[in-house]
Amino acid sequence: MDSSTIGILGVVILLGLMALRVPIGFALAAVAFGGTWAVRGPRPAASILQNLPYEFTAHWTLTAVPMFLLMGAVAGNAGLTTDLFRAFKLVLGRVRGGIAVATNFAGAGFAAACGSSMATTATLGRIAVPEMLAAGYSPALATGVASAVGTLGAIIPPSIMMIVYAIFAEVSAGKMLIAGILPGLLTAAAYGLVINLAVRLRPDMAPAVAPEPLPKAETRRILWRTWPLPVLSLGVIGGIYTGLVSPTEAGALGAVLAFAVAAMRRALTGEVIRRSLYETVSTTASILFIATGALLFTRFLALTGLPYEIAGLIDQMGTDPLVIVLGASVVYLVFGCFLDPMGVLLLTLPVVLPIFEAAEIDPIWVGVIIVKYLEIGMLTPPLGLNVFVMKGVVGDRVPLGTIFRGVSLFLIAEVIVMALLIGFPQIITFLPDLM
Amino acid sequence: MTGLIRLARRMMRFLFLLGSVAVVLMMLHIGVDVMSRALLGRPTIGMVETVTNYYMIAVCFLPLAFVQIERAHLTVDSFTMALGPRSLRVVIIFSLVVAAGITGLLTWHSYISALHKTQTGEYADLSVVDFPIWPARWLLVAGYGATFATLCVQIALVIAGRPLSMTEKAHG
Repeated sequence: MDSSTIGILGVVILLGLMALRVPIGFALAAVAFGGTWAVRGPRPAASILQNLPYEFTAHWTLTAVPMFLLMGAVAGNAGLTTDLFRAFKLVLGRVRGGIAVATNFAGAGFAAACGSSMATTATLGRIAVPEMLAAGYSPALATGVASAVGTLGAIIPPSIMMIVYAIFAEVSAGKMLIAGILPGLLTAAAYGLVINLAVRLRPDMAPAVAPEPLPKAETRRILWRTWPLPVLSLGVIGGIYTGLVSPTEAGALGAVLAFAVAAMRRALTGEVIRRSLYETVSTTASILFIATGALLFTRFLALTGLPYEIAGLIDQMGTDPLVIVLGASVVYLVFGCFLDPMGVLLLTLPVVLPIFEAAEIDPIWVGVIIVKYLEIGMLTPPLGLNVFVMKGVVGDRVPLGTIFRGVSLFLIAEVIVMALLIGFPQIITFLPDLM
Repeated sequence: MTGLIRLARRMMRFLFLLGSVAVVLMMLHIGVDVMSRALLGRPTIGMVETVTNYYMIAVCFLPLAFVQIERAHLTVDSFTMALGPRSLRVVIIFSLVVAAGITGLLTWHSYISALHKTQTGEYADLSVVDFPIWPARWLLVAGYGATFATLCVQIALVIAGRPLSMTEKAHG
């Protein structure tokens, strides 16, 4: 058997093991070990297990993952988002559909302190959805906006996905994070527009709410209380953009600041600390376990030469880069149907990165496109994870089908955003090119 | 058997707790370093080495066993959801055996590597001092070893028809 046949066989066995419930991290490592043995013999197979997991994990750029997760977890659990949402509601509350628009922008704001899509969705689901339902908004709109805006958590820096992509694609983590800013803002603006159009067409979706009669002092107090989150996000993003601090350092300082603000507000209870640490540690360990498996698998596939053969084949056919990116989108939408986005990202990178490289596609641009696709997959059935998170938060009040229906409104916005990002790569590359 | 399982669960929880301590230390250590650079104009010595070799390895590997107990490792179950209880049990045992097999290999090989690095006294050259990093290799062995033990216990539990969470709620 020649080595590229072993490569194809390895991919098939990997998919088979995953379908039979072998957790992805274990399946990747097992196939990498067996495959390396088949291509090169027992000694190289043993040697990848001996050194790669340690050397890969003890990596400075990767330490940004636990720090970003900790910052987001503390900020979310200590209620910093609640204040931001209340402030936006105060400003936009009078407009028709205003609470939904406020949810949208509060979500974008929280995404600038939180690196994970599901965490952003869960936080908004707890804070904003009950208020919208109480104001008589249609359940589809209320849950739809909160689920959709959650995806910004992975686009607007900090972002766990962007860090992991940067490491595998060997691009600057700082540039990768900054590249997400404009696409994130564009998405938030498109969502806002869609809400506005929808409530104009169907006013019953969002009844006009008489603004709460708040005394001036109370208004001022709410606006004053929102300062920590913007300061936190601008500090983190500014620090990375100017290169004053590395992404890891920005994350660590952000986490310290989040702890400090929570303590000042007497919100730093044992339960908040316990929950934040639990979320941070279990997410870090499970992501890094899959990433280690993906690294082993990448080495195995490289030994077989399969990715380069595929890349060469596509290159020979003279395929237009645009066709490759569109082809990749089909792959991501299919994988997104039965796998968590981080799993899809790590599973596909070993194969797709050599293809992009051969076609000379800008790795930062295509990286943001991929993350966007993966996040859209969080909103579509059958495995729309943000929708499931939302369902978990709202419980029996809103049926699953209604949430999916609400989200579909925002998928229309996503089609336009994706067309713009692919048609005008400058939206993505402009800011990182300035760095 | 029951007492032994409870002990195992407690041990994995303890390892998880050590991972949480490492996250907090990581945040504080980096924070102190940045402050020192900003205020005193010089970084602390060995921050990057400590963060990457000790805290990061501890956060990533020590909690693995508890993550397995909580069934939080990413798994695709959409293709096997329609199976009957008997075939599902076979699938679950198969998946646990594959996981245990590769984790056993990882434990064994990281043990060989740790032993080798200990004997040669692996260190990072910080120009002022030699900073030993060989002890961190044993964190890997501990994390993989605990996961391997957990998977073996879980295989025994499935065969005995008991819940995988290793709590003593059902079937007790």
